Amino acid sequence: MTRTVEFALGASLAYVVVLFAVAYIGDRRARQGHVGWLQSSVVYTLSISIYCTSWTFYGAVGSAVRNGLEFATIYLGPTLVFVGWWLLLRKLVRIGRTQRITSIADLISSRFGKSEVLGALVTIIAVAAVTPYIALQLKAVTTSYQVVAGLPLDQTDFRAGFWLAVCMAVFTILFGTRNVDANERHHGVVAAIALEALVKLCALVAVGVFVVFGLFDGPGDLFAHAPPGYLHTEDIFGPRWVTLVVLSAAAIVCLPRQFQVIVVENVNERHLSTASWLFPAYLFVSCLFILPIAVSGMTVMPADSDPDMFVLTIPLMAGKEGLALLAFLGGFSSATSMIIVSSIAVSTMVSNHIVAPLALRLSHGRVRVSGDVRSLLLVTRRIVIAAIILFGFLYFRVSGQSDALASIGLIAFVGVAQVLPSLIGGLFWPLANRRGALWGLCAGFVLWMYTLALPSLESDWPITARMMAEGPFGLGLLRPEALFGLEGLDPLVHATFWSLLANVTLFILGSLSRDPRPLEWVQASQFVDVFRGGGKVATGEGARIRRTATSEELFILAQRILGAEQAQDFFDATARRQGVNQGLPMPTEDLMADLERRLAGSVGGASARAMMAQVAGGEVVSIDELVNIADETARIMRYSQALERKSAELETTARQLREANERLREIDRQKDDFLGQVSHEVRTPMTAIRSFSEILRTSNDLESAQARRFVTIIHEESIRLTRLLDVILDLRVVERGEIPIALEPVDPDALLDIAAETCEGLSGTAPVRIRRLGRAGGVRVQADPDRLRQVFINLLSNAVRHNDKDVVDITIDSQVTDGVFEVMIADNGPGVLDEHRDRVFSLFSATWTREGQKGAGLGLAISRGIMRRMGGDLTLLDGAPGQGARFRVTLPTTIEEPPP
Amino acid sequence: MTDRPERTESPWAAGTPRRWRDLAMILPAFGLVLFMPPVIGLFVSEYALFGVPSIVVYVFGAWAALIAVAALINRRLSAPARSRADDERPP
Repeated sequence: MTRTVEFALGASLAYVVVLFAVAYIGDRRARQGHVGWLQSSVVYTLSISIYCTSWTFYGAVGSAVRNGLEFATIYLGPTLVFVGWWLLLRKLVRIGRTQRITSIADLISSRFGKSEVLGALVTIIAVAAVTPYIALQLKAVTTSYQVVAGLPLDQTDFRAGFWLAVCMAVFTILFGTRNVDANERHHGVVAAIALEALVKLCALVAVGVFVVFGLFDGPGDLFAHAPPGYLHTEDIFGPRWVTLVVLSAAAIVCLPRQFQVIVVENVNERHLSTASWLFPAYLFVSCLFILPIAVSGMTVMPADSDPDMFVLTIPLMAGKEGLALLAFLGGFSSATSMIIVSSIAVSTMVSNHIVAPLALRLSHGRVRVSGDVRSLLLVTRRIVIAAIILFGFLYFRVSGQSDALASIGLIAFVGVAQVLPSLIGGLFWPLANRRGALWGLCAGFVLWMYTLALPSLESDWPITARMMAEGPFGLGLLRPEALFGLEGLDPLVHATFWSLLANVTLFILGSLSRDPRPLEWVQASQFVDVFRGGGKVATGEGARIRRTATSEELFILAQRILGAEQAQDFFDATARRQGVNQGLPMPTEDLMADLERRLAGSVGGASARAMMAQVAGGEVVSIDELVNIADETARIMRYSQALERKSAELETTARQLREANERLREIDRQKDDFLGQVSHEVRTPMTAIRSFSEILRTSNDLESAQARRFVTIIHEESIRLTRLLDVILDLRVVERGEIPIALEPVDPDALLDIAAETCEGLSGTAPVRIRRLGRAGGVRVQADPDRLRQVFINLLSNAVRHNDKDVVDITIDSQVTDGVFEVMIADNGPGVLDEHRDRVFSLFSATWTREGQKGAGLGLAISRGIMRRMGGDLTLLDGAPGQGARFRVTLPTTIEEPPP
Repeated sequence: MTDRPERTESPWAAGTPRRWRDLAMILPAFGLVLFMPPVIGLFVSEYALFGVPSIVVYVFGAWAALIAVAALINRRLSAPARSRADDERPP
């Protein structure tokens, strides 16, 4: 027996020595610049595995014995969070890196306007949750030590716990507080906990493999030995199952030590991507053998043995002392790595959010020495580390005999889960503000204490026992485990429900109750829009916050916090960037923003801001600038609106261009047509002139009266031609459809006669016969005689030209109906096809033609235009096909006499 | 428009990670459904696979599948991300 004691003691001591050595080597390598494997994604993943503490190392088996698969919830929640890293963790890590976040308290405080109160509140919650948790680790190590050493379990031997506490405090202080900048990795510590992660995994797997294949004949044989009904109940998949998954998912983000390793110590976002599956795989492997160990414990161990210690007692029972020692070291390493990282995380929080703000207030007006804040912070952190571990030990010492510690793990989970609403809200909801976070956190914290932490002390505190049963002051409604009469729930589910409900509700109501303050807006946009340039705004275009300070003041401030050497480096680098060759850089806003972020990496956002304010005066955030810039979403929306507007403008321009192009083409086409038409129009009188002159030239026996008539016609046609040319060649006139018209009372029948006479001369291939049917008889119309005659001639010549008969037969019928003079001109030609009827009158339409012959488009269009200008009209009458075209010309009559 | 080279390339270059990114976002919800009642309760039965109770096989099987998909997503996402990260690095 004593051999085992010595062996266990020696092994633990040797293990601690190895830890120190690994940490020392890791630290030295990092200092020499050989980071190498220390910054690999595997080491990052292994460091996250501090999630598996000795509580899970030993306790998981106990839980599996009592509740079957329920132990898996503690690992399934983190698995889901990591598998979904793209949603939450990626954003968290990016923010942590851009904002130089030092802890979860710093994250909450920075997000909600760098609030000191929030930082302190989260710190208090963390301390309240972590201290008993550390006590739990000490208890686990002590118990396991007693088991391995074969000491009786009814008497707790506190010496092991005490010396472990001392060792861990020394280790953490040595390797965990080398730098004041929390963002600089603790390489020694990381190396040590990566080793510990491997040790605990190997230990668990070794025990598991031994149980499955050493004690039993494979998994089938093992499960065949399980107690009847074990694992065959659906009861565990109820509210408690859901609650535990949610709580463990919250814990993997919100536990201070998890936040420390996942966010603060992250050096490369790609490591997170690897950890997204490697860490769940780690959890998977460590869970794989929990059930087998539990089942075999239930089978081979005496009924009264402690299931929490099966990992140790089964190998001991089987006489495998080496394996038992390995298991002991596994549990030992789970405990130590948790204590180390937790105390580092909590010490950073306490020093940055409680001590630094207090020191700032107290030291106001004192002499400031280079590095004073830095040394204050480092000393504080060392003291806090020692104090936290000591408190943990004291807690263990006080309540070590009771079972109160066993449930501490889950109680701590509920405690840190109170930060979750503010965290999620802060990351995704721009309107979430300080008031909401404060209300939510306070309510959640109080309810957590009241419904969960207080009842856990029941056995130690007689007052609590009465309060539990009857409620405070006999108020049954306020009983801690049946608040507002909600009975019958598992205490954990009950507490989680009420605390998170109150937390979330007040967080939302508080956030909605007032507008965010300017600084909250700035921070909100940098957090919520971190992937949309929100994080970069502060560095690049940092004109948002205006404050003034001299370079000397800033330099002194930097020296106080960063130390002389680092401050010098920082200012030199900035000066080089600004192009200043000698002395200090210009005190630009960029420099101040950079410096504040740098300081935030050491003292936290709130304290850094307060310190900058002491030097540079409070920042003034102009509301106008905020409205314009800070709301990144609005900016993006404005940008996209501008784009839309621009594209709409482009579209309009394109349409206008298209239309203009169309018009140009139309005009071009019209010009072409016009030229064709002009030649046609000119040819009509020319043909008349030529025909009559031909007759005159060839006929020798012509009567002189007839000859004179022919010459007169030739003369009149020449004059008309000249006028026509005058009019037609004036392009602008034609294009506008404006032909000058001089109205005077004329006799339309006389004009018709002249026109008919003119056309009789148009003897083409076929003889033309024009018949006058009716006459209006001396009516007068207001018209331009030239134009009216042009219209008549046009119609008649059309009738002649578009005729395919041997004898062109044209009838002219004029009459007066209801004061309207009306002429009907009909021919015996082919008529107008139905499909051409609409287009006959359109300007320059040359479609109403016979094959191969240029039509009279211009003529008809102009004719109708002329008629309408004179107050009349020109229409094409309906007619059966083959009947020939019938045109009607109408003009209102007048009683005015023609000029003498 | 359609025959411009960047048009024809983009569906492959940007589309593939996009699909995996969406899968990465939906995966936790999927996992949540797998591990939450009532789905998980369906697998509590007397059946056993090689002597291992069906519920145990289900929990660990679904868990392993989730990890495998996450690993696959990680591989798909990190390939283009790497080249982009290199581009962004200052000279």
